[in-house]
Amino acid sequence: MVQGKDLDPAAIEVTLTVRLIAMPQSHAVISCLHANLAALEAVLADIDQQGIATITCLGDLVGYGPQPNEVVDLVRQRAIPTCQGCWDEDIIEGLNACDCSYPSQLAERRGHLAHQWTAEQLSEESKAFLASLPMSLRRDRLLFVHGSPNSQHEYLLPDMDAFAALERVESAGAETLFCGHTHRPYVRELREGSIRVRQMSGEPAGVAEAEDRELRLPLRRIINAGSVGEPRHGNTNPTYVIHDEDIGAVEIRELPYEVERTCSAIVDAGLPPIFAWRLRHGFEYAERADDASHVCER
Amino acid sequence: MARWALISGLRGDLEAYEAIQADLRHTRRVDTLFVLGDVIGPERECDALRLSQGEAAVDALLQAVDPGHMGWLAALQFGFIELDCALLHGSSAAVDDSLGPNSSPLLLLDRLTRMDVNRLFTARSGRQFRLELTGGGIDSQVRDLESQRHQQQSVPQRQVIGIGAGVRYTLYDPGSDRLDFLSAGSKPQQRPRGFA
Amino acid sequence: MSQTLLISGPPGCGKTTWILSQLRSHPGPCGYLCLAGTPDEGLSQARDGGIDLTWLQDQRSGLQDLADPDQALAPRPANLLALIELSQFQPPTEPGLAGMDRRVIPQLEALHLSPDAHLHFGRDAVLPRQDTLDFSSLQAWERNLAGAVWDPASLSSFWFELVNGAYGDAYRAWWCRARISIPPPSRSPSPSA
Repeated sequence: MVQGKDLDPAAIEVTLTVRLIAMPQSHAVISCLHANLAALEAVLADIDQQGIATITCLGDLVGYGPQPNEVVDLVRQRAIPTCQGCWDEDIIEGLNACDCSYPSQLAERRGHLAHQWTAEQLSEESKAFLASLPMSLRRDRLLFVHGSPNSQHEYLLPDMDAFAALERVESAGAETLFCGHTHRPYVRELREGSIRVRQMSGEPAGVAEAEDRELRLPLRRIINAGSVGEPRHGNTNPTYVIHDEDIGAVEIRELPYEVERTCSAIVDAGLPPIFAWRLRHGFEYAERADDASHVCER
Repeated sequence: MARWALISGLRGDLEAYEAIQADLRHTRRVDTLFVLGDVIGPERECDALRLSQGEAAVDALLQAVDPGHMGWLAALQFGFIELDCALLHGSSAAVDDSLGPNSSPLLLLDRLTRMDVNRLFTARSGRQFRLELTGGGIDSQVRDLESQRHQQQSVPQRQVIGIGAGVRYTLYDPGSDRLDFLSAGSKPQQRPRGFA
Repeated sequence: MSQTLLISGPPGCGKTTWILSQLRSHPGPCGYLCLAGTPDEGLSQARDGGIDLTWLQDQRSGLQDLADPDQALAPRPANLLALIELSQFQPPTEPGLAGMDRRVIPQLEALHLSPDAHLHFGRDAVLPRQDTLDFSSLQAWERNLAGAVWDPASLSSFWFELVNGAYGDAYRAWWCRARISIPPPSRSPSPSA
């Protein structure tokens, strides 16, 4: 410890810096902004108000909503580390998601319409930014993805098979997996897992011996941030999560915003008025496919 | 009673195929023969081949196959679902997913869950094995905006079976769940390597 | 002895529902006609499009279509109950048959129909008490989806939006099946067209 009588300004500065880095850090995770500027502004204001400096974004900056460039600009301006969502990818690569991503032809047509509109509106600069986004972000044992570590299009639903869910986290070498894509926030803890197997080998030629073994599974967590711009949890409020790395606490935040501002912008932009109606009533623009385990082969 | 013969990894070896056929004709009562890929060469998915063995291997494969067969090969299915069994070259995750006796049980369970089958027959590793999930479970706790739910899930009684490659093939009777790992051309075992 | 009744009332007051109850309780042959009605000033009529007849025929087997010109000339059964539905905003100015809208008489005569009585919702106590919304204008919107590829899931989404007011206040909505096998939404009239 630096004694008062030996005070050296440089030494104090070093001590303070170390202290700041070691302070318990809460960070916020946002996802699925969907070109909804009013919702993003409300969420960022809420994060700022709590003095949280670290924000991570799990993609889908654009799609359906009326302000794709504005939302991309704000994310860039705030320098928020972001991974690529399925919409961000499709806008760059051309429609890549297979038809099975949509549960109905109506939803698919609306999706394609929104895709076309967004692709026309996005500036080259915005497109270049979306194209530059990584598939995932990793900080120590925290992994950030849009859908799942396998694919931006895979849904990790809260009630999916617990072993399959654990496999997604474990195969990606993470302890805590942050995801979005479902538009419904949740925190899932998978603990005290074990699998017993009996192995019988046909090799080498001869009598087969059975061998029993047990795999003890580690504690893993999946944290879904929900959606800022297109909530699907039952009302119009955007959601995001705050995670305290030190104590492992997770808070799911839900807050109101000026939904009518976005609804007006949808109509003014020439997007289908039904998008505004659905957003105003807390319904997603297009329903999601039900099969969480679906693996797109395209 | 139905009995399946499962073969893979012939890789253009007609002799091996004929040896299996002779074996099946003389000694086994089999009503369906499933070929789980690798009829012609290391893989259908040439990207995997290119990565593992280089461009020359891809060229050699293309040279070796009659262009007339290309359409047929390209049209082959990803796999078969018969009764509660998935018959695949790799796994439900990918055609080049290599499952073996030492694969993580968590991974095996995931591959079974993806296709919602009780038996997954795989050929990719070339190994003959049977891995049976015998027990275990996991605790899951989900918290969302409405509620907190706790759920205990058990490991289902499912199996992953490696069928072998080349002359080493597998017989399976879905009625009795009996499995025999065989090798064409070898004499019948005094004590067959079968599991009921 | 046969009986022919003209039932009138504003849209949505329950005419078709009351008519169905009469058709169900009548043991003999039954007939039904829905008159197009006449446009009153400031009030637009919703087109029926034959949906009520189709629905009633689905609910009451053997229901005769009184608008069928071939049937009009045939002798009518002795115990026929003929019910004629007329959409009418304004209450009749005179009681009984005298209050009947004169403009519908040519249509009735063409079909050889002569009402024995005229019942109007809100005027005649034999009808249920009027419990209707106050409409000043009605719009009927109809879309033929023949040839358009709409899967059941799409119809379900669209139906959900429609009945929840996404396209305006919907008072009544039907969907008709036609040569496609989709389950109708539960508890809604589903005539097989």
